[in-house]
Amino acid sequence: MKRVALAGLIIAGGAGLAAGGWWLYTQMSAACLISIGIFLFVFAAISLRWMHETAAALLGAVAVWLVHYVGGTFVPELHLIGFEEAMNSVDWNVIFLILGMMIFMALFGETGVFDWLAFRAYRWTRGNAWLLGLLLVSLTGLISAFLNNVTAILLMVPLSIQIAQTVGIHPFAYVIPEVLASNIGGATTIIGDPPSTIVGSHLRLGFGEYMVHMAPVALLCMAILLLLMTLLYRRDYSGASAHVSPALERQMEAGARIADRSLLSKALLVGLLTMLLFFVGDLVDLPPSVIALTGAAALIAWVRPDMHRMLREVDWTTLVFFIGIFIVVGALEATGLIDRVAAAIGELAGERLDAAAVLMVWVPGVASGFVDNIPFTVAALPIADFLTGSIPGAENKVLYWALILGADLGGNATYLGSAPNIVAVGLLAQAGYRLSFGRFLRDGALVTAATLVIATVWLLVRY
Amino acid sequence: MYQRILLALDGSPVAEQALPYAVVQAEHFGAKLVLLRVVEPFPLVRGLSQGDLARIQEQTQEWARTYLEEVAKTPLEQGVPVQMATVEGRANEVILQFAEANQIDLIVICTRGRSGLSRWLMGSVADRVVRGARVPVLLVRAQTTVQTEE
Repeated sequence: MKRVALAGLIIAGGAGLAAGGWWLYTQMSAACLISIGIFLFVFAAISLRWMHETAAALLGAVAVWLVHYVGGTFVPELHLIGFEEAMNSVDWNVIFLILGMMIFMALFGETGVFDWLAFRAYRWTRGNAWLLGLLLVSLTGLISAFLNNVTAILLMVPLSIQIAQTVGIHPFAYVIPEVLASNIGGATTIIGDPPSTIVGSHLRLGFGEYMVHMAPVALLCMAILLLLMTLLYRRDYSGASAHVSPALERQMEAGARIADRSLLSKALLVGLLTMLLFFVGDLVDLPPSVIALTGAAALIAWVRPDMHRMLREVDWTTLVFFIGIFIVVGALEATGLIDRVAAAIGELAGERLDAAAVLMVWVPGVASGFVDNIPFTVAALPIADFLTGSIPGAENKVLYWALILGADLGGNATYLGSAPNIVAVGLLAQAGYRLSFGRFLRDGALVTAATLVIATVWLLVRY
Repeated sequence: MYQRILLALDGSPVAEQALPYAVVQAEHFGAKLVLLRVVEPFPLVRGLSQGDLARIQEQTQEWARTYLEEVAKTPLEQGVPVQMATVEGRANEVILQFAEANQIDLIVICTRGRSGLSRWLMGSVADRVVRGARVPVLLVRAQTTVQTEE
């Protein structure tokens, strides 16, 4: 039965692909079709988890070059993009900004300050599970805004599981809202979430300029999340504080010490100066990547860490992934495909800016719940460029803000929607708590729908 | 008849329902009870550095140790000698490999009793262990009343 169903699916899929392929063949050039094929392969490999995202992106980039150099030698129509053009299609500001933040985070993470903060939160709230939840979730949102959201989840989830066990409630009551907060918090700043960094860098936005537009709506979405988590978990929170376990409390206190006070003071000072530079850097057009690397280099010079150990803390896979995706999308762009898609969307939206803005929030918003939002954002950028140039009134960048909000907030719908979600589900499983797809969807879809509605209303009223 | 009895655990309360049956067998035959915590491999997504992965592994070992110490209390109170182990990998494969490598005489495992689409999609670890094991397997059907929040 299983084999028959599988065979049926494969035949139906193959027939659909062949029909679609024939239609595309009659409409497009060979280069265009091949670049679509490479992009779809990378997209499917990432979304269906056939292989690691970085391996898929790297394979895609190599395929682009092989088709260009080997295929193009025999059939000139197969020229996609060569090495030089590919390097130009990579947004190096994004790569170096992320690298700078990773180096800073590698050093900052060693201070133990987050364990200390979480335990302080526990003490301040005197074990009140609801207040504690509000603090932990807000702290996750804050860390996600200024560091990156996978780091925020890695820091907060193990602590929150321990705290939940201490106050005697199910860890889902803290961890799920924290995951949702990490994606919302990431939209607050240009360094918080990859789509924010990609779009912000494309627009050459400074830190302050980005925040003026995005921070208010992100804070509004955080407030909605806190309200919804209170409603969804009111029973867990109300029945919790009576079960505080003294043994677990002692264990938590033992682990909640600042590991290196000297490193913490240095990292805080350099971090504050870097933040300041992010704001004033707008005045002299200092790219965010240069500021982030300046902060990282200053901290390295001051702290003199073991460089080999520190570089193990940098996630090189993410950087290679970004480079690969930029190249694959660069090939798509070079064939003129994205312009054609943008023109079709432009025709659909007409000259109605409000319709285009709603589409730009909800299409990435819904898609990001199921597919990786980074290739999606990189591919959607030229579409936003085209529409901004063709729709009157779009010069206020509303379509870019819509894209950021859709891609960032949409990742909350399912646990496959973004890297922090997958990491949190993995951590919960290691701790013995299996979070099913449906269980995450219950909270994720609700919060996603609510925050996307808020984002849409915000964009329509503000712009 | 049995000298080393393996109880396979995945960290959930459902899997622990097989514990009383494993303890009874161990008491009856004077066997050692091996508590095996099986940990699924951590999903490798971008955003995780080598340092992060090392810390996750350390944290996982700590969680598994705490969990096994808690589960071991019952058999220890009843005088059953206990050995604890944590292994990472696909559950059915590592249970069978561990049983082979550690001279296990009996495998005790809980089955959730999935059927229909759920079984078709998820498969059954217990099913594969029964098919692959060279020693007797005691299957314990999970009671659905356990609160799992799944």
